[in-house]
Amino acid sequence: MNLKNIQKTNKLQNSLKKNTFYFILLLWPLIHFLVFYLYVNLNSILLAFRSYDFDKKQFVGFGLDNIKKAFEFFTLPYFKYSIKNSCVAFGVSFFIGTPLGLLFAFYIYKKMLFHNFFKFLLFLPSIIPSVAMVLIFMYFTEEAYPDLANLLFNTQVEGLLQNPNTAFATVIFYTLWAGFGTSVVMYASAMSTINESVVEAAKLDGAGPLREFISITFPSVYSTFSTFLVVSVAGFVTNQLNLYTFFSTNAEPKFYTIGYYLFREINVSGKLQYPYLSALGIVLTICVAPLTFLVKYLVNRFGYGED
Amino acid sequence: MKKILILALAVLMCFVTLMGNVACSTKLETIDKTKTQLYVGNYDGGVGKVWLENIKARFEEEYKDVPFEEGKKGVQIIIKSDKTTMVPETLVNMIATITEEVFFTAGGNFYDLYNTGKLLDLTNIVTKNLPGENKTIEEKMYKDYKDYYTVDGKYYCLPHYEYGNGIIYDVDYFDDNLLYFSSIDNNSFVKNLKNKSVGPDNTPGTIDDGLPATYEQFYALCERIQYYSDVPMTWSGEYKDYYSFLLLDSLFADYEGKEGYMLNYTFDGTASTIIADNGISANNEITFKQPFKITRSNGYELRQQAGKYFGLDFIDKIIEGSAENGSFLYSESFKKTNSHLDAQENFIKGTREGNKIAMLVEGSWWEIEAAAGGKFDDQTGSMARENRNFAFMPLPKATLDKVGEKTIVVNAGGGSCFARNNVSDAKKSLIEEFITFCYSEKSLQEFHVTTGIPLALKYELTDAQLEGLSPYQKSLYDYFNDYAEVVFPNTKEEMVLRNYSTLGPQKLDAWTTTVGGEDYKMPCNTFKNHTVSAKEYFEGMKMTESAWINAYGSSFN
Repeated sequence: MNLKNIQKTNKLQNSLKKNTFYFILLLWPLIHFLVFYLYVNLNSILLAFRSYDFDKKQFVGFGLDNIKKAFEFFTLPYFKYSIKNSCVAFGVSFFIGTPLGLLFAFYIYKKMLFHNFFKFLLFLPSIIPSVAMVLIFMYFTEEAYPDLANLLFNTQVEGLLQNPNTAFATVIFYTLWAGFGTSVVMYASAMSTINESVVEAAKLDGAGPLREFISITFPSVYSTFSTFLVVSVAGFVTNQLNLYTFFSTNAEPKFYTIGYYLFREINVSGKLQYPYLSALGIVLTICVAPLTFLVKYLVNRFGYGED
Repeated sequence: MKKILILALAVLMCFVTLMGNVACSTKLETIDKTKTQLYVGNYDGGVGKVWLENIKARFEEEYKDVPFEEGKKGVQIIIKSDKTTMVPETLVNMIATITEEVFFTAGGNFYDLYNTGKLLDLTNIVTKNLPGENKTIEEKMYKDYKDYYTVDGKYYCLPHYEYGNGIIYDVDYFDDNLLYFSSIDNNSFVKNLKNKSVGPDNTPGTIDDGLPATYEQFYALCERIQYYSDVPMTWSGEYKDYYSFLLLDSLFADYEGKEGYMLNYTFDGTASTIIADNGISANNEITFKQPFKITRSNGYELRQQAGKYFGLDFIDKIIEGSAENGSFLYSESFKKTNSHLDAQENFIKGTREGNKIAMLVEGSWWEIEAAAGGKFDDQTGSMARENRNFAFMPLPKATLDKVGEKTIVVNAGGGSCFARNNVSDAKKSLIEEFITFCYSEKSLQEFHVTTGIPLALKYELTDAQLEGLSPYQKSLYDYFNDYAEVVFPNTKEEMVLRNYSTLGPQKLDAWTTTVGGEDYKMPCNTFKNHTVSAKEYFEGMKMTESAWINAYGSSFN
């Protein structure tokens, strides 16, 4: 009995030590989460129902005025530009960025010519700080591009960002290029887990690279693809398209996305506007959340399963 | 052994993680524990930090034997100069916990800072005679600043330097190329440096003689410079929206005069320059509405002030330039890679193509900023900084009938000084001594001589000090002291304070327009892209009463 009790006690003590260790390990991230995510977001949500009393210098009251006012955003000219540009950003990301990301990942997975170089080049924008990357890119579009055009074709051209006809497309291109790094690495990692024997069997059956991609590779990385898709839909209203990095708060209204509009307004407005902007955030979340769940349902229902 | 290694690795990872969770601290000098430290924050912008370091040296010397804390003698001033934290917008959130105790910043909304409840009451030192002088700091202040910085009769902030935005011109270049209008024939240029026209002030023998009196003359001047295969003007491409807008605002203020301009920040007065509906004819003749009273509820009418139209028209014209040679602006002026320092360098040294640039659109602080940025370092002989002859150009007038009216320069973002109140009594005493020291006649003179930038205070420079100023600094002194009227647009108007981001001084958002269903915010970009004309832009700025009430109605009472 004594031995059993001792063993039981030892087991309990070990369990306690392990749990204490795990608890201490998770404590700091947990505090971070509670303070910088939960508290901040709860406060933001609460702010949507309050108003700023200029005389008392504090947020007071509780009502739905801001929510009502937030719906007026859909009647503003800014909404017209923002929704269009947000759709363009999403469309370009999904219909161009995703296929290209898959293609590059497949190329790297297949270890084709210079695959390491391409891996490095595509991941570079994710390593270098965004502000530095934008600066380098701006020097290319504003200095190198006009100089090259002059040198090669004897033509005087404006910088791509300077030219209003090419500015938005240039920003889209940059966002696309800068977004490759993460997706290519994630897809390539998922592809590397594919069983080689399955691929070899397919090759023996006469499958070419395209058939292999469609029937083996893509289904194997489908879960990664669907995660990216769902996250993109969820991020529809927060996607700024790097407009702030390029233009600060001075982007032309016709370039606005919903995410940039929100970010800009918070930057330039005072505390008087914070409740309205919080309410607008909630209204947009109410619009986008069901769409996100729907997309998640659809990709799970009609896509490739685990088997 | 393995356990020890794992433990060491875990400790190292904890340490590295912790480093990411603590703020950076930049200790600039070793703390002298025998002295009392005073931490001073400085906005390291146009005026730099050398002036403050000079004050530090003198103050520490003068107070080296004075005890402020028990067991200590003397003072050690520790200065933190940066552009990121030492601005009111950031300090509002940090003032309760920041190390610095006294602040020299620029711009911003003083009342945001005041409402933190953390500003030290400076009334005590402001209302008593400065040591060795028969004047108080209060007596050195101009009325507009006194009105703004007092709350319930107490001072919580003091004005410091003032600045304006406009056009700087290369006097030597103008002299060499005889780019002055003639008094004999206003439409032609002089044949020698005599017989200059009277300029915008319509008075001979002043600093503006020979300079363009009207916008039309200014365009003719630019075309003349292009004729010489040089470039009339430049501004920073990276900040083109900022600089072009500040020039626009300066032109607007100059047209309206102090009273008309200040209507936008007081909503109290008579508006006499509101353009009537369809009141701009094809040949730019204006029909005005009858003068009427402006209040908070009809403030939207001010969006149709004539000064705004003329300012927009000027910006449009200089971007468009001449039919033969195109824009009056250097091609780099629209590149995002052309920083303010690059633009200053282009102005000092000429273009990459080897042409001279005659004028620079900048703030009055530009020269000291260029010097700190090393833009004069490789210049020698007649091109060396001390030998260059730059001057602040009196703005031309929009129409002939405005020639002779006093030129306006807007000091919207000038310097200010305040301190936080959550300090010990010993520190309060030290802070008061330090601020008093900074506002002594000697310190004010030293600031001006070091930076060349005038202060928004009443003080005198000695003849020797005036002689020691560079030609540009001398021109600034004459411009701010004598030639122009300095306007301080910050007011206590409640509606402005509540909606500071759109109604505050020099806010670009107040110039948004809708033309053909499209919104535009940046006049510079809009005109560069030939999207709309100045007339269309101006007419699109019109705001309806319902839109005004919707935006600001809650602030009417």
